[in-house]
Amino acid sequence: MNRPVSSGNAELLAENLSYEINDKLILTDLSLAVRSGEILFIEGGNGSGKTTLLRILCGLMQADEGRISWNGESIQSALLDCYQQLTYIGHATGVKSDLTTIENIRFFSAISGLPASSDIQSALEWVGLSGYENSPGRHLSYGQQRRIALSRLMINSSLLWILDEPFAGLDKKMIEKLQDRFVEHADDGGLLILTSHQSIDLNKMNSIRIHLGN
Amino acid sequence: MNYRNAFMAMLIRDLRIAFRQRAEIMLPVIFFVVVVSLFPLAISPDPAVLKTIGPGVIWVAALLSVLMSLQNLFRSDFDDGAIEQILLSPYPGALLVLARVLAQWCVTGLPLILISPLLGLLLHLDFHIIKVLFVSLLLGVPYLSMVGAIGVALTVGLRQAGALLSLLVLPLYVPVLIFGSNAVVSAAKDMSYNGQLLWLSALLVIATTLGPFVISSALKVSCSYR
Repeated sequence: MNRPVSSGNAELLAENLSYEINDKLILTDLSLAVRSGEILFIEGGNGSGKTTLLRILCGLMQADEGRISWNGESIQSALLDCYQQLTYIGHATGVKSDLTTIENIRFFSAISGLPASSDIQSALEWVGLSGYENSPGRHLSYGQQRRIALSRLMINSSLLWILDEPFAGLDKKMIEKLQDRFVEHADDGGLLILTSHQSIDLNKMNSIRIHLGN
Repeated sequence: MNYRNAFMAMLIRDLRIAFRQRAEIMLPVIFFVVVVSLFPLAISPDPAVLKTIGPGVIWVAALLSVLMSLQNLFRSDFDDGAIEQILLSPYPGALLVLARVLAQWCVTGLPLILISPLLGLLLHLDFHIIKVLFVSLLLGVPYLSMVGAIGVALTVGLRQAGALLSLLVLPLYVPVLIFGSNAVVSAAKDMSYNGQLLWLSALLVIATTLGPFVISSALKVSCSYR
């Protein structure tokens, strides 16, 4: 795979993040840093604030306190540059139930603003969805919808991946393949932040671990 | 980065989805036709009466059916996470949102405008009055869609947003309703109606130039409190 990674030393830095919902502190004074080639693995039980942290990191939510910077610049001023380099896949996949697999993927690709580095067909093969090109989203299982979202990791390779529970709803074989892709991404100088509450064997990946919650 | 591609991708996506949910999309237009055609039955089939109430009836029915068509504008995108992808896109949110509203207007607002001359005939309006009615709706309905979309973007994160949406948006609809129906009434009285049409145009320009930015900011706010 030839990837359009421009800078070999990109960095996402979060300092002293705090966030509370309904008087309940979700994040307290949390700092973290991810650099090119690193995988940050955020663990924690349900409700420990993993999703909140990811949403804050990619700018969908504002932290009450703290500062996030992308390549040394505050995220507010570097937002456009950051979004050009960002792939975020959340709990909700964004797959439209009235569109076919191909139409969904084409739409994601079009608004990602990134050049396609792989053709859709080979990405579909990678996620195991060849043969489902023209199936509308509503006929696909949850796992298959997740695979549509994950195909973006193959087609539009951005530098920074923020993935919320990427292994949810996937079978063992796909989890293996996904881990291989993560390692490949890190080796290519990419940054990766992911969460999981499952005890998945991640020995394939050299990751930094953060544990949220009690 | 190709802005036109992103805009077209968004527009085509929404038109495609709308086309696949035909029954749902037709509902506001059917509502519009049914409401207008019930008035002669309820009030009086007398042409003189219909001529006086006609413009107002058509305008009110159009306003309500636009409001009705907007209820679910961002609902599915919000629920399935597509809105996050749209907000995290490097393309300006306003551009993508404009495509979204334009698509919605094409499938609900436009048919409503196109069918209005027919309803004008039903209410015994004269040809030159129907012409003014058509132009006033052509200028007014896109404003209704755009301003309504701002309300929808602000309330999409709430459960049972319907009542709040009406409260937010109806006061902003009133000027357009007044100018729109008044233009038609003036035309019926052989008075000048240019002023009203110019006002409608001015409101439309303000709504379409500033609206997309407001909508995209409102969506960001709605998204950050889910």
